[in-house]
Amino acid sequence: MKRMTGFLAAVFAGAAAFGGVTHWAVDPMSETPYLPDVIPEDGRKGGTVQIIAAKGEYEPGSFVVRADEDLGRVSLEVSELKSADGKRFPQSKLDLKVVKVWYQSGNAWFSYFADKGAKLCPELLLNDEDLIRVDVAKKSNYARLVEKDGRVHEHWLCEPKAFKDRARDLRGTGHFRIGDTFVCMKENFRDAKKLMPVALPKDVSKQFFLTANVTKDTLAGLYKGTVTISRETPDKKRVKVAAVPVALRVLPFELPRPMCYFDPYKPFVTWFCDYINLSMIRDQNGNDEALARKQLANICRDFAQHGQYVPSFGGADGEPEIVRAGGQDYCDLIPVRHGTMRPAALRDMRVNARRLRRFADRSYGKDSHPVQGYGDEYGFYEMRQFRPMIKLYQQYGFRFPMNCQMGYMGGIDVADIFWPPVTPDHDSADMTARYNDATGGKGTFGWYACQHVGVENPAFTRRQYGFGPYRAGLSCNFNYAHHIDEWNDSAAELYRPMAMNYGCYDGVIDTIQWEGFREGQDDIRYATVLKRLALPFADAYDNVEARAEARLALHLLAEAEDDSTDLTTLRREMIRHILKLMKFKAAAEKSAAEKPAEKEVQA
Amino acid sequence: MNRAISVSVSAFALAASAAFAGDLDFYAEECANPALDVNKRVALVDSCVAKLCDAERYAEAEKLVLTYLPQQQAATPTNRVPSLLNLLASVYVWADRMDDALGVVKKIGAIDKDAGAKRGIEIVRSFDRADLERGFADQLSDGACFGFYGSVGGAVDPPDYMKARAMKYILDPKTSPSGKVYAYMETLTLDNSPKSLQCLDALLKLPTNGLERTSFRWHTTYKPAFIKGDWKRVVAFYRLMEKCGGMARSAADVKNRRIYALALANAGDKKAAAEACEAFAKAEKIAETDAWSFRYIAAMVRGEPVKDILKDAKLDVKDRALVLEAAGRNAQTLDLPAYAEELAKEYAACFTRPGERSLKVSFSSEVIRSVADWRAAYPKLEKALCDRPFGADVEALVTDVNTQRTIAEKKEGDNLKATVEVSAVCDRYALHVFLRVADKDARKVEHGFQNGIRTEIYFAPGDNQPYQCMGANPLEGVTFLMNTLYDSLHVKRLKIGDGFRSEVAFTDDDYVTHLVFDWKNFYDKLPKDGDHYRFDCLCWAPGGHKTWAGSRGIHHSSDWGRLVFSLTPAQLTEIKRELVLSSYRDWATVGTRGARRMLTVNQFTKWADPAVGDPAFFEKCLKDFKAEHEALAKRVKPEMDDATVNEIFDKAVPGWMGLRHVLDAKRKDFLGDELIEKGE
Repeated sequence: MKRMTGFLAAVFAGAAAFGGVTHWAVDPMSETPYLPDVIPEDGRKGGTVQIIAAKGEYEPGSFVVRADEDLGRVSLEVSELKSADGKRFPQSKLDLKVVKVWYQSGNAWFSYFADKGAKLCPELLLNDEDLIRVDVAKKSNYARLVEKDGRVHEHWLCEPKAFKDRARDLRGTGHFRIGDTFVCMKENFRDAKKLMPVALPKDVSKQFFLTANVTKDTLAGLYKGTVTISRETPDKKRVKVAAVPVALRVLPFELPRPMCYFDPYKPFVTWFCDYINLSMIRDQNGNDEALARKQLANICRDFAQHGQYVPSFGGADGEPEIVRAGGQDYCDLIPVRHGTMRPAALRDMRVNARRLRRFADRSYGKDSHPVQGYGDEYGFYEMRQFRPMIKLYQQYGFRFPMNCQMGYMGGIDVADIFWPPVTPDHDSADMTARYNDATGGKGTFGWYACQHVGVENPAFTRRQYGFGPYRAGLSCNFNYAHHIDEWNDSAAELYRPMAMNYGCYDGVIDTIQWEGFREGQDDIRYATVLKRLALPFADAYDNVEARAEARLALHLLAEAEDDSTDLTTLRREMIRHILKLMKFKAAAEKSAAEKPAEKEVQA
Repeated sequence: MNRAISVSVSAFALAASAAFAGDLDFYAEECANPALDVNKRVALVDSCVAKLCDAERYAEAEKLVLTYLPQQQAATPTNRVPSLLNLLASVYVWADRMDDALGVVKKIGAIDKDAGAKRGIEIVRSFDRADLERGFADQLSDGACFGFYGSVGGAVDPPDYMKARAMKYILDPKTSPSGKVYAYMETLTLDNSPKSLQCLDALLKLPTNGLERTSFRWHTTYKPAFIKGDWKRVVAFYRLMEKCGGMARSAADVKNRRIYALALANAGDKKAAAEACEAFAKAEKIAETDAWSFRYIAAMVRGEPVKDILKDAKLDVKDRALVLEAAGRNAQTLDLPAYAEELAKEYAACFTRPGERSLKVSFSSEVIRSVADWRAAYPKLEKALCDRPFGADVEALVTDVNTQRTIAEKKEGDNLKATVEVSAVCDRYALHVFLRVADKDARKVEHGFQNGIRTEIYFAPGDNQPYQCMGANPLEGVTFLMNTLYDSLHVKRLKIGDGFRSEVAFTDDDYVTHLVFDWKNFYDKLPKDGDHYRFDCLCWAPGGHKTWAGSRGIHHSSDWGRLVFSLTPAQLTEIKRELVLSSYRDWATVGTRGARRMLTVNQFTKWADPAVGDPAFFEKCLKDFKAEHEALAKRVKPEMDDATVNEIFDKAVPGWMGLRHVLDAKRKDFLGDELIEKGE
């Protein structure tokens, strides 16, 4: 009956829906993996996709769609968004992608440790969902390859570990992190430029991400529009089957770079240990150097857009053009890998230090703070041996990072950046506070390993790199690691592939956890705005209302539970306080501006 | 990440040079000893100068060298560079005097042009003056420059002018064949510019005559090209390898031949690839497994079936697995997924896996408060030994810095036969898991004279659930607990002392670790009869590392066993009753954590307050919720019947126990609507 009604409605109503299509507006950072058989109980059925963004921010909204009969292929198109007073938010700044659910290891969504099982997990953000074919019967993924002559074939992405390593015969050559049989950055493997029609079978949930690029010149206000879902009838007519309402609120302020909780003017830096450099990209693209440079530039651009502002790729210090073209910059601390610090005779170490310093001066200015590192996870005894080397380089203005496990006190006299394997939350807050005290707030305290990169859950990633370390008083993320290859999740032995995103011809394919990472950085940016606005009013006894609001705002951050507070709720609370504080600030500035005029009148 | 890097000898030299400084004056004077011959004097001067420069006494170092340089020059043939001249240049480098150093380089170059040029390049690099390098590079002879930029120069990517020079050299008809090959191998191996490829073509056209003794570093050429998927280059290099007589063994190497065949196929010449494989399979002294590997490649590139290739092969199962493994890997490299999947099935059949393990968990109406209570129930419980080997490399676990895992070194007298026995039981408060080790030397373990068995426990409240990893030792119980996700409405992190605890107990004959998982952590995942939780116990035992379920690695959730619950509906209701009773009283008081607890405030009072809360939010979203849950709380009585317990549990406990998250969700929606519609 329902089906017949739908059909008749379509026949007689023209553009009306064909079949029943339901959508839910969901939190893009939900803890729930929206698998094909999941009905989004935590979403709003028929709701509006709400996107609330400040200027200079990328912000996603999300929705899930289900049809109660097989609709074949459907097209989704997002309209231009318009405000009631005629302002427009162009389609070109709206990016609509489908969330691809595919097979990952048995630990997907939860941890980065390897497991030989396979289960479905949402992860990839694609324009063409057929770029990866998922075979449920075989529990396998396949990459679609299209050759220049039009031939289409596949690469199996779930082979057992024994089959995986094309470098097995070649031990001693290449980098141990590169070896997948899948050469993923050649021209035969690329996503479409915009969202292609997707399959919408009966009773299958399909999630979409709609990301708004709110540039700094966007006018504040409320913009509304629609995502129209339509299908092609047998006689080639396009029939609308659903309309998903979209509302974008552009806030009247910009976001600065992320700063620290304990000092809202000290940068909160994010690096990654990474396996990305021109040589490794060439390992994945068939040895095309010119292409590798373009791909690296695209990667930098993607990373900057996702909140990784500081380049971490190998040789980044020697590629300022690529870095800056991509929108990244070196921030205050530049990992200078141009040459490496190593123990040698004093005379030779001075030569090397001077050489690197000259390079840094020439490339980044005499006020730059280049970083030189040595060693990995060493103990106190080892650190003691090369302490003189560290101090020598520090005389030339280098900063030294230390990640050893011995406890920060062993290296407190020399570590400018300390990043031990600790959890990025309140469990580390005490250690963080002591380190910050011991360095007068000038040091940089980061974390890694707990957990390593790999978890697909965007809410987890958001907290792990955002509010968790921020509120615990850390000043740096420095986790392990970024890869561009490793499309096979089930063939690892100890750790799953550590993928925030995946290499392809155009650079990288994004994932929901990479979106989560960006949201984490943006959470810190909002908190920075809040603190900068609130702190000046915190003891403003001449402005009781402003002071009260400032304290409520600061209390919000002080009392938020870094390991359990819903971060979208927290974000919206912060926005509410920011808007109130902005009014107080504007009033205070207006009052201050009027005061000289009053004095003149009095005179 | 990698293990801590061991300290180099140079690091100790740092300390040594400091100690030597005190004797510098003595040794500097000793250089003047007339009894020394030239060579010994030069050696002593070299040593002194190095140490003087360590101590930044550059003027003295310079003077020392200049004093004895003429003597060495007089004793050195005119076409050789005296070492003290090089040392003088080094002194100037150490003293940060580039111009003076380059002045010495001119003198070196006057004796040996190549030596001078190389030295000049090293010096300008050490001053970060790459702009000056070209001038010296142009002075290098052809024979010297390609090798310098190929090996010493760090030849992943020589500068463009060096590549241009190499191309010119290679395309010059006057250059010898071996010279051409050498120049290419050192500078252009992975360069894919058109001119470089033209050079490669030229090399392939070289006659074999003249290349009999030529070799090239195939480790830095042939192999990287394959790693990079540059198939045509691999093919070209192999053919070049064949031409060069000095590489005969390399060309015959079965791994290089296999790479060549794969590259041929991927470059589009499947026919040649198949023919090459057939020829390689018949090579003299080829191992049987390698021969089969080539036959597989030939069949796959021809599109022939591979199902029965090994039907008549006389291979034991281990060799069979090796052949299938290579064939599968090659199928993947060739992008032939159908073959790869077929081979994967055949490969998997070479291995056996033990069946899944399960352990019954029954309900005890008597509360299990301690190990002593468990001992009373012990005879009725199902038990299982951790007797399956741990299936991974323990050495590699050192890279896991997240887990506080300690695998103790053996002590004399350790009980090598001891193993862990697992049993489990639940009551109305918690799930209890017991790890018992029968050991007549238990007291020695208790007092530290022997290692006991340390355990690593994995636990998840069902399939596809976030899990915990716990580390325990016999003396302290669980000391390490890792949660995978953060708290949310359906995920509750375990904390030692809050929702989870452990205890240990020793007797003369055994030691026991008791793990207690409070039901409040899993109120929304309570098991019914037949449901299971996931579990494994890894035992780091002196006698060998074992597991209960047979995990093939740490955190290998697919390998874990099942704790299968045997629960009547009445027993489940008892559990629910306790949860209702423990949560109904102060459910609205969601306090802050530990020392950060500022004020115990009822959440609804707070939100209704106009100053610290949001009355509009309270009215719209919380008032009815509060009333409904308070009404349910009022129905909680000590004498509730089972039906009431179940009703209140279903309707109220999720709100009571998950209040923080329920409030967050309501607040999120409310604020979203306000911000969208009103912009505030």
